[in-house]
Amino acid sequence: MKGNRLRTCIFSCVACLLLFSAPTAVPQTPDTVLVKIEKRTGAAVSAGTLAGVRAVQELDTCWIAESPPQALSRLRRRGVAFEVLDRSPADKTYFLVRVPGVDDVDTLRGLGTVWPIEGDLCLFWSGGENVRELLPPEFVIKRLSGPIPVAISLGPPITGRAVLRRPPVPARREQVDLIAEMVSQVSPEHLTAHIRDLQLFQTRYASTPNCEESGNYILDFFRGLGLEAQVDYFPVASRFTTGNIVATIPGRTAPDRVVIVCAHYDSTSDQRLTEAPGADDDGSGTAAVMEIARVLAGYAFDFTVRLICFSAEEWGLYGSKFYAEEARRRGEQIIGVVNMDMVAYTDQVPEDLDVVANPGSEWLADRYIASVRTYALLDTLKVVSSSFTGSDHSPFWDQGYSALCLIEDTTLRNPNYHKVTDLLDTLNMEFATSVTRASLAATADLAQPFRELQPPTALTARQLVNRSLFSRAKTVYLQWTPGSGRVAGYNVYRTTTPGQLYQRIGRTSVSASSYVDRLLDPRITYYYVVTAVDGQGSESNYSEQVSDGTQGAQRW
Amino acid sequence: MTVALARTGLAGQPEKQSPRFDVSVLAGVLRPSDESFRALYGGSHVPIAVQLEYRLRPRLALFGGVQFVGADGRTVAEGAQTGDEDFPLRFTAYSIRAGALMLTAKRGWTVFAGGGANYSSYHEEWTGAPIAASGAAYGFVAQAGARHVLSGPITLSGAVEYTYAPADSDASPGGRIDLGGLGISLGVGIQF
Repeated sequence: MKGNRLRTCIFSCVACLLLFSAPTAVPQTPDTVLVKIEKRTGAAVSAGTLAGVRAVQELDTCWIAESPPQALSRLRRRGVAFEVLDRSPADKTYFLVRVPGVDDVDTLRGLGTVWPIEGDLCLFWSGGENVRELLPPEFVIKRLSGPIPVAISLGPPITGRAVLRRPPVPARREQVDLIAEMVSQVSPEHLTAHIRDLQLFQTRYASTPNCEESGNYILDFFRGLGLEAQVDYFPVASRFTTGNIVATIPGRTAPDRVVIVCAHYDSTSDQRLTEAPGADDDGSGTAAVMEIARVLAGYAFDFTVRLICFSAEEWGLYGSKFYAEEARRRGEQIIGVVNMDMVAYTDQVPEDLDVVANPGSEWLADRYIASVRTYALLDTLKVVSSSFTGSDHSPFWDQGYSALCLIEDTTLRNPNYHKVTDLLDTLNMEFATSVTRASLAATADLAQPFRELQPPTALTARQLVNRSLFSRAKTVYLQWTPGSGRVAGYNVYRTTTPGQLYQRIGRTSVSASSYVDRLLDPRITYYYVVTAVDGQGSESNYSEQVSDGTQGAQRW
Repeated sequence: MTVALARTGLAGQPEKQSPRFDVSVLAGVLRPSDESFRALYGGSHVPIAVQLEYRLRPRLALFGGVQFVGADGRTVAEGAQTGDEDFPLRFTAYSIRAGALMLTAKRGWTVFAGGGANYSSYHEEWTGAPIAASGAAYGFVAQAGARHVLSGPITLSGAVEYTYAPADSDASPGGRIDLGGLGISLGVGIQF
């Protein structure tokens, strides 16, 4: 009897539970679905087609995006090719995984859900953030953390690899070439010593105390140079906290503009908790940042230079993602990011340095290569690809910033990669020194060494297009506020690639504070900067850049 | 031979044959059809033409000729911009045309109307600047007019002419420019 009553009671409780929980058991319409949208589309895509669809990751041939379910029928109607990857993405953490070989996708299949996305890239999720410890160390991972502030654009993919046989040559050569002076101070001995020191921490795997100690070593080094430096802490996978080491050389004339040179100081290997020397990955990049800091600390620049050693890169780019998202949130005006990741191993001599950019950063790659040609003995290979996402430049791309990744080979050729054998004695320090010199020169060129003679201000441009029956020509009217003091004249420079490759117009300086540039091709947008010159031939840095027809100026 | 001589003899006073050829030199006023042309070079120009006619039959003639038009102008600013400066222009065009005319003659007057093909070769340059464009346009010409014998072989001609000569142009909003127009011309000629 008692048993019957107990059974009745239990049955009633279960019935009540089922009754009250019934509404939540009904499948809910998800707020968003995760989709892969092909860039190449057969139809013309109007502005409203992609309304509500938010980018998560750009790759060469496609976008990974979040879309409201109701937008899918619109995409289908308008001929946009897409594929639903996950119908309930809420509370999931996705990783983009580059597998060493296509056959290795099967390894992932046993560990979680996998979608081959493009080439050797897969989308992977396993129900947690602890993917680094789940996957073999040779799998390169990037954590995707929701929508990014980049607008989705469709069209033919823009990719390419180019050895620049005839590289751009800077038009302006200094009387006193400060950059050459800086480059000459880069020391291979210092670089070697830094890599050796980093290697001595035995492992720098993020989450280990050794990693934090190596961070403190870098922090102390920066502070020892007299730089402002701090640790920016952030959480990783809800498991531990680690920090980016950030040093700053404040800009003298436009400190709100920032140039970043960076690398990651954490490492990994197949024995990551005890032994991950990471001499090449990325002791080499970190040592380069430290050496660049040592040299640049003795100079002043127009713009702020930030030297950053990121942590938790190997966990899925946590450190750089944290920094880039925060930078975007506080409206930091980052001109360009130079990220060095594995810059000391050579599988052949001479080795060329791969300079990887997405289409929006191609100008930065060209400018970097121009610096290489002027200041360093180094062959380069420019690689334009949005799919090269496995290093700390990628979160900056996600936030719409221009960024480069410098790497010895985009196709990994270092047999010691993520192994306990990634040691200093496997590296080519001559190559590492050349990369450091080139990166220092590019950073200094972007940040513009401070000069007493100041450039003109308030540069404006106005355009007029004249036309006849068969020809058109543009006239651009430039005006600026005259400089004061020992200014004897001005040099006007023009380019068709914003921020670089300025060519001086005319052989003589102009004395007035205006200039008219005539008979230009109206189909081309021209960009201008002006410098001030004094009686001794010294020249200021470039002024703000203006494009024809716009009043808005930008300082490069 | 005998017969021929006899015929000549018969025609001791030979039959007066109407002339087969007419060569005229004409000048006049041309109003270009294209508004852009008028804006750049003005609304009226003075073409000079030489035209040769061959009377195939009493009421049908073939014609061929050359016309030259030269004009000076100034560039215009595009869109709503107001130009601070402009550039002087020089435009020249040679047109070669050929076609057929229907004729009717009465009391020393010949009235004609007809049409044919037109080929124009043009050159435009910005004077003093390294900008120039040359090209060709194919179209048609239609003309109507009258000719009066003044004295002996000398004639006075007047004609109205419409030419259509579209040329491709990247500078034109529509991508094409009509180099032709409506013209009135007056000239003198010789018949033989």
